[in-house]
Amino acid sequence: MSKRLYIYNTLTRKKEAFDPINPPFVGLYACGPTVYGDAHLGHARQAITFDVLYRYLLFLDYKVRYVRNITDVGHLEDDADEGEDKILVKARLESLEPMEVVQHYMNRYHLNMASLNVLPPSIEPRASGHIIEQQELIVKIMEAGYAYEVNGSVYFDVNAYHEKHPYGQLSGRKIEDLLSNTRALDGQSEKRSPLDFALWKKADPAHIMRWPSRWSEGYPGWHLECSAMSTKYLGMQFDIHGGGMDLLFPHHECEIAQNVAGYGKPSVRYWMHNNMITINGQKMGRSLGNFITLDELFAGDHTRCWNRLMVP
Amino acid sequence: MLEQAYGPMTIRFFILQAHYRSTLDFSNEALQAAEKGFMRLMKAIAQLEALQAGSTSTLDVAELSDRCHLAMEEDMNTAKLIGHLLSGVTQINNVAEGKESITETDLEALKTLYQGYVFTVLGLTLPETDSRSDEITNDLVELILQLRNDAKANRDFNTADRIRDGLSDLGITVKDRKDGADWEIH
Ligand SMILES: [Zn+2]
Repeated sequence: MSKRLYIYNTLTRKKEAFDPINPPFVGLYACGPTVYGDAHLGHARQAITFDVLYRYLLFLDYKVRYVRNITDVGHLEDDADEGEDKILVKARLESLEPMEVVQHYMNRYHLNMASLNVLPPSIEPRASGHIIEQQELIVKIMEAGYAYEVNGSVYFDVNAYHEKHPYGQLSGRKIEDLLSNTRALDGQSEKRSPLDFALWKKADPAHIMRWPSRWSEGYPGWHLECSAMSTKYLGMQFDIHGGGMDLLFPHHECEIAQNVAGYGKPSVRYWMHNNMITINGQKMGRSLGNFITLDELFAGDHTRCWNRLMVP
Repeated sequence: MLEQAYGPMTIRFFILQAHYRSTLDFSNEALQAAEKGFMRLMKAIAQLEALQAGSTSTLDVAELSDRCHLAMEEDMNTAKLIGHLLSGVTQINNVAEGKESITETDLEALKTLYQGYVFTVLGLTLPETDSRSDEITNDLVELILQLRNDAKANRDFNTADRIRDGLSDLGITVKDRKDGADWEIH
């Protein structure tokens, strides 16, 4: 069978012939779930999209290493590095350890994926298991002059980066437009620019998911895990990075900046993004409250428990 | 929002019926249509196994195969792929009804094509349960247990035990309760 494959590369906005760096091997990374709630249709679409890509590459006789992560720390409620860790909020609500929340929803995610016949990835790394790798990347970014420390937290310096490398290429955003569309920093902020994002955050006394570092007891910024874990398992350059379109900005844009800042060049050849699921034309999402979980969809299906014969 | 339960394979088929770069709108009608399409495809695959080969082919398997390859090569267009596979279903049905014919070689190629794309690439599986035959199984077990109950009422414990052991051999466990019996299929 021929191995021709054309994929739409979000970075170049073109369909490109797929040409792996080191054939017959292919490195594929896809962003996995943040495990603080049940998987919904949107999760199913992302998982199935990259499952079919994984299956198709195997079908074409490539040797594929597929890495799909689990975010179990650092995903804050708001993209501006404010608000609380989503998992911590859930843990407090349910009086559980954060890692109990993680385990619970990760197990349920795996059950849902098995029902959908989504193959398990080759490696499923967790952010909390790669704190050292993330700290090492922060050190590299600081040494290159693209990050600064304030009161035990470390931020990526988008302006310093943009002077040398274009920021916003993946999402097609211009830094001037981004600035005019972002809330100005208040006097309290530790950031130099509203576009800067956290690489390491010092933990408040109430924040129990914390690790020691040279800067403070704290936790990594959300975007960092994917940069650190994808390159750890797939190498400094790898073939395909996938995710939902909702992750394009800021998550993937920040990932590119981190890799270029820390490793000197971009790591990903082809960026692929699946589109959203809508309900009656409206975006579906947990924050909008109109999502349907997979268990709700499956409910009533193939649940065989004890049947009872009642004697009249 | 939900009118009924949908099986995981219906969901998977529904998602793959759209190209991954298009938005996909959820509705009960869309999922019900996906369920129908999925069942149609699965029935055709079952039928494929029973097809009788003839001396000539009226269908062009190589051409269908090319169209399927092309759909996937072009940015993983599962929507087009499923369209091609469903157009093939019409022809499979025609062969089954004797309106078209297929040679042994073409039949083997067609089976390989469907197995490869439907199971290996799209990752669909045969539906795990058939609700109609489940219903019949339930009714049959209930009927047998009623008979066993009657036997016990007549103090015919020999027959009652034979029924219980017979069901057990079929993988059906019966637990007696005060007000009846619980049962489970393994
Ligand atoms: Zn990610």
